[in-house]
Amino acid sequence: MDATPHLAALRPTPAGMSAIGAGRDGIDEGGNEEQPDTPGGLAESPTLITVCPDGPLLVRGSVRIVDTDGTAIPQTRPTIALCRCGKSRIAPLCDGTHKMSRSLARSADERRGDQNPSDPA
Amino acid sequence: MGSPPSTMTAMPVPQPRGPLSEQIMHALTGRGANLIDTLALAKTTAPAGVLLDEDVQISLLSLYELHYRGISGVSDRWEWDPDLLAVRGVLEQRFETEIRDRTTVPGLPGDGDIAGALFAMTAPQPGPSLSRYVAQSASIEQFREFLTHRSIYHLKEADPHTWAIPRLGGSVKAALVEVQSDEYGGGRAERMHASLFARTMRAVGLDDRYGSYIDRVPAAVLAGVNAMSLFGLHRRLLGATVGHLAAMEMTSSLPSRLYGNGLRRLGYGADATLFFDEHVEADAVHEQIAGRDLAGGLAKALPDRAHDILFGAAAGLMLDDLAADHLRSCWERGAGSLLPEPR
Repeated sequence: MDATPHLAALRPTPAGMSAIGAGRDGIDEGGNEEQPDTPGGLAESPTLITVCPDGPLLVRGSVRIVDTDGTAIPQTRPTIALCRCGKSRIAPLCDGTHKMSRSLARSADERRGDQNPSDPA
Repeated sequence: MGSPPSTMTAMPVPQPRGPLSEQIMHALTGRGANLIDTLALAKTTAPAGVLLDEDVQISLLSLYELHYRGISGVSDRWEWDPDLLAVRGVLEQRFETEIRDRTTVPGLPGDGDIAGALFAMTAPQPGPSLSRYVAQSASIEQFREFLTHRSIYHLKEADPHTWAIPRLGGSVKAALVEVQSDEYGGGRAERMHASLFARTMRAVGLDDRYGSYIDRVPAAVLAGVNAMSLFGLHRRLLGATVGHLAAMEMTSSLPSRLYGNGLRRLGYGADATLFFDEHVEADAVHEQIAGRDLAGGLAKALPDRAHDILFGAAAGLMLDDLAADHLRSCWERGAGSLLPEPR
């Protein structure tokens, strides 16, 4: 059922929020109940990367991204989306341009069968 | 830099647009009104429909505003006044019925993939659109009009969907909070989306005070804002709020780039475009969280809400089209899209 590659098993869990439950739409189920607590209280969780079917990679947690010159790309929000289609105009971040393409590369975790994502509902 | 002081102000008292809003404003401003008569009027006014009726939509907007920042000089006690709530209830029931009549809700996906269904509903459509027109052709006057319409929502951006937070739990709640926290600037007031919108307004010479243009914005635009409040204030419509938010996020990144391009074409710099640039990047994140973790998670946890998720999304898209059609049809005949300045 869950063919998603687990690039990271843990997701950060802010204080007071439960990590127990259905997981994130089944995408990153498994392993996320293990939250090693630090003496200070909040768990120091590894950065979590979630594969979005037909979409970007969602990155939660601390990362450092540099461009080809080694210049750091500023990270302005705790969760970012990294482009997987190669067409984003703000690459390496996602800008939703993948939705313009009718011939999306099918990812291994595609769950929608042959339905064309651009078909009108 | 903190948020400008104007961000805590209440909305000015709107000008009445007919007998119903006149009676409501009379009551709210302490000039006396018989709310039994107002209730009767609410049932019968606008027999052709309330959705595009100026009198009804400004009435609803004002009644809803009592739950947000309030109206200047109006007592906070009106928020829970039973007689006034009865008037609102009648208007809401008529409004919701008309929204449902005008909305085509797709069937639930056989594989239960609500996120996939939402992405399909919101897939970019070829052909003319408001965002393409604004990117390529809009004059600065038209761009100001566009921002004026949008100011009714964007100066309280994210607030209507925040009502859903205490009604959710677990990972679905965490997903909504993750989106909303980013909407509210992640703890930095100057990055709050409403603050960024105010900055854009100032950059093009508009008044960024909360509700300053309430009298200029027609029912075709107010209806979309009122629908968000309707969905957000009723726990019964939790699914609709979630679906509405998901559809809004899914239809934001690509148009935001075009709106930013329109400002750049008109010679404006980053100060003016930051609001739109921010939405290109932020909403590419939010649409994934809102579609998969929030809407998908809610449908999985509470399957009886699934239909309303798709309804909220479809209703939001329908109302967006209604507002966009108003702007484009006015501009196509060379007219302005705002109501005239009140005398």
